Amino acid sequence: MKKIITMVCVLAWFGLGGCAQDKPAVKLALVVPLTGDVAAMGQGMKRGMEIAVEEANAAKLFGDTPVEMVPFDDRADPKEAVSAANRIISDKRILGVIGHLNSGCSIPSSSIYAKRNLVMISPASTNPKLTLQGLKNVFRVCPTDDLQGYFAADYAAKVLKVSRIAVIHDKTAYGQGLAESFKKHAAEIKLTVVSYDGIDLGDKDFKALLTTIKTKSPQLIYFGGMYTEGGLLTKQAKELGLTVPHFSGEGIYSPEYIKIAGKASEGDYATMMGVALEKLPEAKAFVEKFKLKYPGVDMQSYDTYTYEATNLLLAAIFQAKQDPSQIVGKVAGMKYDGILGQTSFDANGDTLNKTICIYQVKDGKFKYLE
Amino acid sequence: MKLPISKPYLMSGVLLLLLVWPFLWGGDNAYALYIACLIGIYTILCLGLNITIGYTGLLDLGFMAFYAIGAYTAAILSIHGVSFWLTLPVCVLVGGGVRYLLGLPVLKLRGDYLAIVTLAFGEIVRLVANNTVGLTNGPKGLPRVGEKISEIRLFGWSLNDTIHFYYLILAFVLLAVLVSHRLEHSRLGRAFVAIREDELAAELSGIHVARVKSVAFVISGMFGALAGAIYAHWIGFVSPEMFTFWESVFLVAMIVVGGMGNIGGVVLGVILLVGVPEILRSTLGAKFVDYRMLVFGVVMVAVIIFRPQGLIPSKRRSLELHTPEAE
Repeated sequence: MKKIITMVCVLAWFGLGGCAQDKPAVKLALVVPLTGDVAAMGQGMKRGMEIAVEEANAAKLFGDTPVEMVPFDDRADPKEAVSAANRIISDKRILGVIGHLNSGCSIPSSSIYAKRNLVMISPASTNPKLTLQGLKNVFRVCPTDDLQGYFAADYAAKVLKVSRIAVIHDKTAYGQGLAESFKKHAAEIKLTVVSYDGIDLGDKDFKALLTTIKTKSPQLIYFGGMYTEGGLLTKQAKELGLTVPHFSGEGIYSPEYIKIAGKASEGDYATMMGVALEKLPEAKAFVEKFKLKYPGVDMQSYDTYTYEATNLLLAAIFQAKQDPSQIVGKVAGMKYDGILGQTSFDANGDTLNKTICIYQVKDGKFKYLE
Repeated sequence: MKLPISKPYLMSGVLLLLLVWPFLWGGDNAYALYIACLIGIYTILCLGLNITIGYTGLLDLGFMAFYAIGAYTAAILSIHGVSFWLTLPVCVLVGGGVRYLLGLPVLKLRGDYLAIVTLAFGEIVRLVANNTVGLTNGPKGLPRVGEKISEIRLFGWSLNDTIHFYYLILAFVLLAVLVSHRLEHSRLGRAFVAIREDELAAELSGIHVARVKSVAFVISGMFGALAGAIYAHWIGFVSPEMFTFWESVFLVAMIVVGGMGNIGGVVLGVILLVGVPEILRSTLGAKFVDYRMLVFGVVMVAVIIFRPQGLIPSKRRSLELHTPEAE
């Protein structure tokens, strides 16, 4: 009896695979980690794209043909990512891909999309290698890590007027990339980097490291990494009496950072790519729509990039009159004015929108400085 | 269970089907081919792990370490222009060598303790790959910007399409199955099983337990490194996030679900565990995409409840298990 039940279950699984229904639609794939450790980021990206797709449908961008988002989960696992990529290229009606989050997933997948010359726009992968593979179909709307670290070092020297800086990173491609570019430019403009250390993701106690750093009396701590470790670092530093401000990239630009660090986060700085959301009317509209559609949900670091990438892709598909062979060319030649300011791409597919703005924590919120 | 046709015919039928299978799909379905290749890679890995867990009864929770060692060795050599056919034996030797060195202190441990130490070794390998930036380029992965893993060349052609890799992987899977099969029925294979059943009794029957365990350990490490080397050439990119603890657990799950110590069972377990999440990808649709791994977990729990000995249990093992239900 048990055997029969098992057989029926297995057959049902296989049977269900066959009955996917088909309607004419402009299909866009989203491939991000929807489950797993960084699911919060992926879910945020999905929300950003949902809003863009909803707007396109409300405006009847393609007449009666609706825009459809097809989400795929890559679990931040390169094998799953390549498998999703192959799944995507075997669906001929998918006209473009938004994704992936991790560079480790984006790089192997990008060559799969290249086989069908399917455009891929990553809202979040910052490894420089991604766009240096010589693939024509790969773009990203976020700049590489080099730029933010460079800008942060400049800001520290010229505006904050500090000279002794401790640098910490989380040993990930993103965090270490930021820290390295910061350190490199700091050396060029004669700042003293008093220490350079890596921490491990998931660690909770950084007091030993911070005590050593304290003895070197830095005036600023630069951290390359995400909000969880960043929040704990700033909290524990201030508990140890190391009351200098912390400075990070957009990885800490999340309300979670302030929740974790509490009062200790006051006065900390973060760089964000693109024009500040508060400055552009389009961006304000997006923020309001987000609050309306997802009440009580905080925006994550890459929601705006995903929204922007989706809109840019839709605009390109519209210009190409939905002809798959034209889309890559249209994206490459695009000058798109959106919530991040004007985005266009260089020959490699990297964004030319290199505006960076600085936020500071004031009264428990990230306030825009410049 | 009695088969309606004799075994050699069945085997040749399956082989023929595997050879012509890509053409039945029209040769265009990249997705189906990719999944087939992935199943192939996991089959090699699981057959390797099966030698330690299935035959010898040594629980190994860090097998991905050897997959990683194989993949990184292959990537590093290949970037410097070493041909695949030279890289492969080097990877296998490095994998086996590291496994031997690991075995020296570790094999003295038994049961849970061995599992914990292998688990730790798996993590160590991943962390080393993440932190030795000079050799592995750290979290950014290999190859670096501007470098390339050289293509595999065979009799003047270069293998660059998924279908080429399908046949390459198929050839190695067949080799792995053959080696496993011969091993299982050899004197050594019987010694493995004897150790699994009762170490003391095995020792008293004249089996050099320490040496035989070490051999099982090394052979399985070689399988892992082999799979890693092929994977690195196929995907063309290696980074530490590919070799997480979850992957090692996944491999053990495949063997347990399929049937420990049985080659057919292991292959079936791989097909099921790689296949089901992929089938779910298409069937669950946009609304339920977040629940994919949850449903996958439920399917696995169901299999374990209905068939605790695995889908196709090992013949030798089923003789020991006293289930009320007849096979």
